Amino acid sequence: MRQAIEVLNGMVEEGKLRSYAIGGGVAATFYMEPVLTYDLDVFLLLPPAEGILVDLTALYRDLGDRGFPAEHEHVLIGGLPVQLIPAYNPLIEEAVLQAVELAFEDAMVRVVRPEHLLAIMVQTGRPKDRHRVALFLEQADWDRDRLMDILRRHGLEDRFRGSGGGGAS
Amino acid sequence: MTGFEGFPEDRIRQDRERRRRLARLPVEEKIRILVELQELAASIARSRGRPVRRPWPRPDAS
Repeated sequence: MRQAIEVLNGMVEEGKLRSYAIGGGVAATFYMEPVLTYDLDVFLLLPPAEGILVDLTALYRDLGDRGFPAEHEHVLIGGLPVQLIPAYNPLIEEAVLQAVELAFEDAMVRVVRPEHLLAIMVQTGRPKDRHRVALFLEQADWDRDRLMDILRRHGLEDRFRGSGGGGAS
Repeated sequence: MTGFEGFPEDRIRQDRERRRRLARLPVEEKIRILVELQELAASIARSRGRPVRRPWPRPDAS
């Protein structure tokens, strides 16, 4: 995982990415017990480009040239399937902008905040997300006011209550 | 006393405490455990003839 972090940080330094943040199961693992996952999900903010379509071709080509081949929807970096996901809605974009820098080994990595991670799980709403919400609420350190503010602004309060988070304190 | 689905309550409490202890481990240790989970899942899938998802390299091997 260390190599993937170095590659991502390098892409930001080189201006190929505006920013990034780790999401998904690996981000959850920063805050709660380890959860079984196989992908390193990375949300991206790309530099401004012409046109409205998001094009990752140059990014994939650059990574391929550096020895990180594409495999299905992933790029293999140091043996890890890394899924590069351009921020696809305002919640994800905010989650990347407000991500925290955490240490992994001796590198710093941008990770989605716990409250944004919860909101993304609520928004995504797959069975595994709903299960993870319950465990996350119990195990992770999170800020109730910050979470409720995010849920309200992104219209997710009802879904959160429906996912069993109504009694969260 | 029994709790959820007939499980003894102290067993449920112990499981919850174990999960909280795991949550407080350093993230590097949690990633090592994650890779062990992937290896375990691969072994089970293989024994059942199911498609196997490739585990990550062990962190100390990279």
